[in-house]
Amino acid sequence: MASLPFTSLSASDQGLFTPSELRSLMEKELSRSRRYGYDVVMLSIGVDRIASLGDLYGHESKGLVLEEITRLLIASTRSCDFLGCLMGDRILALFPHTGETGARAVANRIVSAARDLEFSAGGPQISVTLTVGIAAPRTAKERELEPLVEQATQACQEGQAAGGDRWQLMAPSTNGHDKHAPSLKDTADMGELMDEMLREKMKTVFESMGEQLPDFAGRDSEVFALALKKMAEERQTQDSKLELLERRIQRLSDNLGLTEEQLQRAMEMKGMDPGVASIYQEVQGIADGDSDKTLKKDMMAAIYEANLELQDKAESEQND
Amino acid sequence: MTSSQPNELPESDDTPHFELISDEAENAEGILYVGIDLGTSRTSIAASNGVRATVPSVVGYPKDVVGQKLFGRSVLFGDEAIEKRMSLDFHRPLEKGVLKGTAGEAGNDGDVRAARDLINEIIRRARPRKDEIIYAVIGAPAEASIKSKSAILEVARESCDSVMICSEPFSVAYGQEMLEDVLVIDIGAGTVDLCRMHGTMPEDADQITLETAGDFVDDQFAAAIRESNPKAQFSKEMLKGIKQRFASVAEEMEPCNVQLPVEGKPTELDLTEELRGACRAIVPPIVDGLRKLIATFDPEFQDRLKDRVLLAGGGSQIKGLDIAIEREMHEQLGSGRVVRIEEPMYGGATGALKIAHDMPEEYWERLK
Ligand SMILES: Nc1ncnc2c1ncn2[C@@H]1O[C@H](COP(=O)(O)OP(=O)(O)OP(=O)(O)O)[C@@H](O)[C@H]1O
Ligand SMILES: [Mg+2]
Repeated sequence: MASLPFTSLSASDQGLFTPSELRSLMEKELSRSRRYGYDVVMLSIGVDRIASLGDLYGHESKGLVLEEITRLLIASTRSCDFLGCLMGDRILALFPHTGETGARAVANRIVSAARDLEFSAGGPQISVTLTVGIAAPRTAKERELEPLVEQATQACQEGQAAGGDRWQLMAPSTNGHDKHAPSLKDTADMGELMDEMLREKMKTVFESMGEQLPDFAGRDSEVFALALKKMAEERQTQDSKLELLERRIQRLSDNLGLTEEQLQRAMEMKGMDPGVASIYQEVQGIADGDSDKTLKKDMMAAIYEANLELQDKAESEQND
Repeated sequence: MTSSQPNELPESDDTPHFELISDEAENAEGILYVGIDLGTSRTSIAASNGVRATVPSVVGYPKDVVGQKLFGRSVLFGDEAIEKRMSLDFHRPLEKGVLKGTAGEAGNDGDVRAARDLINEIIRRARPRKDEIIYAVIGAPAEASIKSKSAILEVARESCDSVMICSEPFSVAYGQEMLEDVLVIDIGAGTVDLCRMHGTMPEDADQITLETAGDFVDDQFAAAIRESNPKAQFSKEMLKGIKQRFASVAEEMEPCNVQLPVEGKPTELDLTEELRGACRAIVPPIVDGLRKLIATFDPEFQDRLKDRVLLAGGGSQIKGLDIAIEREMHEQLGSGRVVRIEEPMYGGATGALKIAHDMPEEYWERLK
């Protein structure tokens, strides 16, 4: 993948960026995330069975659907910053300051929101489902554009191959083994849902119940599935809360970084800065431009001079 | 894959709150910055700990030991002093915005002492911690003489660790972040101060002081009532109260229906016309003053100056005044834009506080 065939995503960038600019924006964001150590995730969003969509309803319908999905993506991420582009028939979106939990919540929102979408390309009603592939790098080293695109795309393809209408996680640090296809029958879910201890506990409980209640025997998998479902639901609400918290923590630590930078600068110019208050003003973006600063400095000096003169005069008068 | 629609998350609070942190940082230094507006009728303070306070610029001392026992204090301020003025040695130390006397001159010692006590009181109302060092900027009337300025400095130094004086209109403009090419109209009780700011400290040529201020409106109002209702009885304080409640220059104003005794009998009077007339009387002299300051300014920047007129001071609360001045400017000067500052009573004090904040520490140190 020497150069990714990017096309700009008109609804997200309002036509502001060319594909190559977008690509370099993504690369910049990734390098920033490596430098400052914040999380990023890459999502690859595909419309299930998009090829047959074109065959059935005409080629324009494809464009229409992708446009609608873009709008949905923007709406369901509540305009939190992301960089998006089209790559072939898939939408790629890079979310800075977002971790695995946040990515799951976003993906979940997109997938469920898509089910409620309806299009009519002049003719019959079309409804579609989406699959979202997630690449969530766990170390700074993994935050490289091309591998991330590849992983997200692969996750999306796998999800679609498994029937679509879902999200699929590809966690690079485990060589793709830790993929997550959330289906209740899939016991791979277990690892994500509870720790080993809990799993053991449940096993023993079920076994002992089987001994006590003969009726119960054989129904353990049913109960098990029910419990999993409940937990999955619970997890979803927690995920949403976590996502929010993650974003706020990120925000705070970004601001802290900025503050520290400013303090550092202030310390370097020792005595030149009018005070701590101004540093916070700068952090909050309410400080004035440099030209005003020079002007203010001159004004302060003028007031000081005038007062010094006043003081001298008063003193010499007293001495008379 | 579960299909439940995710819950909408509560919006995160987008503005980080740093006040707490910056407060702590300030307290760690142990410095309280204050801005003081020392006016004829009111003295106000704004402090870096967030406290703001205002008090009528009057000071009263019990006339004798009995009074002192009665009031339980040796000095009273503001409204309390006004209320009990009959049994007090009563002072308005800043008559016409300038300390009336300077120390040593016979007969003026009382005013100097009153000014000292007033400044001390207003700082006390800013609630400094016992261990806090106080740096104060005091806005003094633009036209105050060197002599009265150094008198203010002298008395203020007793309550502050370091103190500076700046011109009142400058602090108003500075507080609004309007540093260059601004015209400030500060309507107080005794004087209207017009001041042209252009990036440096205003000089004499940049300032005009008029006597057509709040007290003048009160006098005009009184004269008009005497004309229309010769038998109505009132005091200055009563008229001031009515004015502050109804004052307007607008065509459509709330009717000023009040009760005044007429030959001892409380009578309902409609004083709308009288009050409007009195309020309108201050517009022409103000615009005339503005014209002079504009005409003598660099022609290239005259239009910019006309567009940046700030209206401040207690007297600027007359309803519709900004529009009336603007209209008169259009007629007399071809154009004009007047902005009334948001909190006319605190414009001077908050501006002075901002200056105190922006003043480099070393300057404060050197003036100690
Ligand atoms: N709501 C109001 N409407 C009209 N005038 C008012 C109102 N409130 C206060 N004033 C007038 O404002 C004047 C006092 O203004 P301010 O407190 O700015 O004066 P000052 O700064 O003490 O005086 P100076 O600037 O002359 O030293 C008084 O004449 C008072 O009657
Ligand atoms: Mg004033």
